[in-house]
Amino acid sequence: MAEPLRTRLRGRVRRWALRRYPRSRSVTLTQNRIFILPTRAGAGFMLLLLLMLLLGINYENNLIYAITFLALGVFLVACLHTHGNLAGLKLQALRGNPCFAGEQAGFELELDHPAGRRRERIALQFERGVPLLIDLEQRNQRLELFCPAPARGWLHPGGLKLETGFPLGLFRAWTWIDLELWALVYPRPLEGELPVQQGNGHSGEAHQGQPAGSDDFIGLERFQPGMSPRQIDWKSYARGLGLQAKQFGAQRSPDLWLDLAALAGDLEQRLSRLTYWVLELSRRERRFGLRLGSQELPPEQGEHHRHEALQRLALYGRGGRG
Amino acid sequence: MSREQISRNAVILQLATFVAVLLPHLSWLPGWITLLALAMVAARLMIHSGRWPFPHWLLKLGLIALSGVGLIISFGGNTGPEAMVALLVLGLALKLLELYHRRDALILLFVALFVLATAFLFHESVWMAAYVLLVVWLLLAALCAIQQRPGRTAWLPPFQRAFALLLPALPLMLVLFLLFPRLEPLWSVQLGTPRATTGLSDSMSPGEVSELALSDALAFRVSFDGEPPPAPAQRYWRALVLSRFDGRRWHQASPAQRNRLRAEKLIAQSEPLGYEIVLEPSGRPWLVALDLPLAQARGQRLSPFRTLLSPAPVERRIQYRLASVVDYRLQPLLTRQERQHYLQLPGWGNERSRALASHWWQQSGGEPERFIRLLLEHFQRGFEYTLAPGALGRDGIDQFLFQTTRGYCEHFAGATVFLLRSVGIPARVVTGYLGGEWNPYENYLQLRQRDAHAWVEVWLQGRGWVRLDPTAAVAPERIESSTEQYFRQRGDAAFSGGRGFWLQADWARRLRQRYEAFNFAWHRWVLNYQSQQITLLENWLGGLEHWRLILALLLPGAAVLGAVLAWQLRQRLGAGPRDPLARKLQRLQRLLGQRFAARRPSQSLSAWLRTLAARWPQQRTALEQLARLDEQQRYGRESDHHLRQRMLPLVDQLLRAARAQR
Repeated sequence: MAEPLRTRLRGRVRRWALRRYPRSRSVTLTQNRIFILPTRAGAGFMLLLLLMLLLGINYENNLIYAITFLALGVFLVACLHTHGNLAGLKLQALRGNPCFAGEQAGFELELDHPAGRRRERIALQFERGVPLLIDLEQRNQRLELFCPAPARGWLHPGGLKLETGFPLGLFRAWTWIDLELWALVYPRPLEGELPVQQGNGHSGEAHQGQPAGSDDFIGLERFQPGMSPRQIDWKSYARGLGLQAKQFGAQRSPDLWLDLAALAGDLEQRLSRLTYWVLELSRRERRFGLRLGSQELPPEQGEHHRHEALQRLALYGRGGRG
Repeated sequence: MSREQISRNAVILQLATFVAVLLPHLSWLPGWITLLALAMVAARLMIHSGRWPFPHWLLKLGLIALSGVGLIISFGGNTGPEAMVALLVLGLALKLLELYHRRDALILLFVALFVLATAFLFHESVWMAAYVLLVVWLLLAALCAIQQRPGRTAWLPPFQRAFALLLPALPLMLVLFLLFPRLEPLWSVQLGTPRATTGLSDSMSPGEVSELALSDALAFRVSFDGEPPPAPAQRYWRALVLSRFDGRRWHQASPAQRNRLRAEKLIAQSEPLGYEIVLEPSGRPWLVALDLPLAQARGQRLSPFRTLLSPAPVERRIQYRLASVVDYRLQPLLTRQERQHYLQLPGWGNERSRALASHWWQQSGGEPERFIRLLLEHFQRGFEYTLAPGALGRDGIDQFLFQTTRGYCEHFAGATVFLLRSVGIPARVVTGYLGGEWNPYENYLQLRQRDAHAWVEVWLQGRGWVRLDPTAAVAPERIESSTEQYFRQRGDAAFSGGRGFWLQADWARRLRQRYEAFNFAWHRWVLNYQSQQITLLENWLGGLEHWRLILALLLPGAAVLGAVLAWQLRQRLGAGPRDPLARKLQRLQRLLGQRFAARRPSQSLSAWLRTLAARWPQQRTALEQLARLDEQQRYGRESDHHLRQRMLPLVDQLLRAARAQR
């Protein structure tokens, strides 16, 4: 009975705390955002103080009174220290890193706090994520927090809880903040047959599933990020011409079109299959286009193209952030 | 989080705390508990260093069973604090073996704090208080250490943090200590097992008081209300009236006899003298008062012959306030029954003394005053006041008067009362203390057990009970000085042992007196604060109304906690960032904000700089460059330091330009 009640209460506090302040990219923890309550150990400590007071009263011993009051004073000061461990901390949302559905999405934050103070054992945790325990010693610190990404689309990690019991563990100070943080979640890749349509009416059967060719050498091209290092022409690099990539005939072969309509079945599954092939073709350094219903992504290759394709897959049929 | 493992440092701090908490109890703990506790510490150290594994549960069970049996053997049936503390110490010692998770450590430290508090049941000196304060620091450091990450190995931070916690707690403790109402015990508890204490006993036989004279133990301390203390010759502190003689010992009147005695009437003939006594535990119910108290203090009983009694043996230091007169008439009339009581003597024995007394009685013509003079003159001739009078057998008074002629105060007092009674003059032996050492630093009189004294009260027609001190006739200096001084000057053999010569030096005495004065203040203001609390608070607060007490608690409490809070948040309330670049950027924002447009809260620094670039063409490149660098610093991966080096001169240039514009 007690446990569900506590969980319910905590949920209520969380919702209330998150409602009070709008979502923002940067948050400074002020006093009125921080909740503080004694922990179970704190309750035990209060019981201990009561016992010590009884000892002092019954034996009429003033020194026992004194040590009891000293411990009470420490208890009160510890409350302020625990509070101070969070107060004044500034959080800045940096970015969310894309991931595939079913993985953990990483979110980058920057913690910033006034110099000259140590903050220890602050646990950061998204509502559904795993906690991260940190000690803050420098002025600012970047960190990456993870949160499960169950489905494709834009993912907001939910409320971020900062919690600390430092220094004595007798109090727990916590706060909920809502950071403007989004991560793009791509569909989960699913292996399967290549849903291919040769572009521009060419018959593509001959090239189906064929690994990236390395037929005839065509010429050199400026190396761009995303190209395979194997393509680098080391000889010209040695001649001081910069990084040049060798171009082969097969890469000029007719474009592949990945088409949602070419697949049958559940939409999510089809998107997953396409995702797999986007990754696979990019790995093989093949040019491909993507056709999702009315949307069309012309054939291209490279890192940027891959990202564009994955983003379209992630957001197909989904609204924006919100 | 409580199942987390604690750091290795924390384990060491826990062990240190345990040992520190154990130390004050070593003086009375049974040896086997001490040994077991130290063995557990050693075992935990072996586990700590990886040489031993954590013990099997069977071993722990065995240890628990053995300790239980040991406790029953050592303390069976005893419910005093010793048994409780011993049980807790054993529990702590065994818990050491399980010290692994944060939860175990918390329990250990909480119980250790309690055991630490119980140290005050056994020792209450200033030194102990200072020691306990240090151990509290250690304990808090241990408590901080268990909250640290298991990987941390620095020793200093937990101690620093504990200090930061402890320092503001001290004023809070002081305020609470002063204001918290002292309650009556909620249930009666057995104080520690009575220890053998020296003090006056309820009967007196030759040789008993002189034994006390060798004891340096403190008996009680008196401070007078502003007035100077009475002259040394008037410092007679009465404790017991002994009126029953069995031929060898003097006893108090039996309860049946006491019922037949009326409460003695006191007619004061001098101004009453107010004073306060702090009595050391004596294990006996009688209390001391300056010659004749006007009334008893709260919770005490006044016997018919105006001595004070506590309802229970004095097992702890008590403090009470009295008013006494040193010039008085006591009980001018005696009933026949009372007269008979104060004339009681055994029907036989000490025949030579009786014969001597009746001879003097005839000589004095039946006048008690002349009889007394004869008696005292007799003592002045050839009697010696000494601490080593030699043993007396049967007919001790005869032996003392005719053979040994050497005695301490109880010999003279006993013999005097015997002689007086044998001729029909009512008399009684009074025991208590005489004199005392004045401490000029804290203005109080200190009496030790060696100041114990016995004298006589004789009842004279028309004058009532009159004090008669035969010792004064034999050794008048004893009345004026302390026992110690008296015998030291005389070089009495029995007294010379024990003390080094250097202790007699003047500076040593002054040092000792200062130390004693400090101790007395400690006893009065701390250990016995409850008896000072009401007057003190009334003086300080001007009354004891609730609102005054609440304000007195809240104002300093809030001030201390507010100071802690301010310190916690100090950087945010302070003058701004310490970082030079951030400070200069702030100044630039202020200056350009006044000149052009202030930065809106939603605007990023770079966006704002770019809007300015449009309005301030002379500095356009600098502004744009700064905006780009700022963005790079915030979001890029380039080295922070490198970018800052490039930003600083730009900011300086803009600042100069902005100032020139004004």
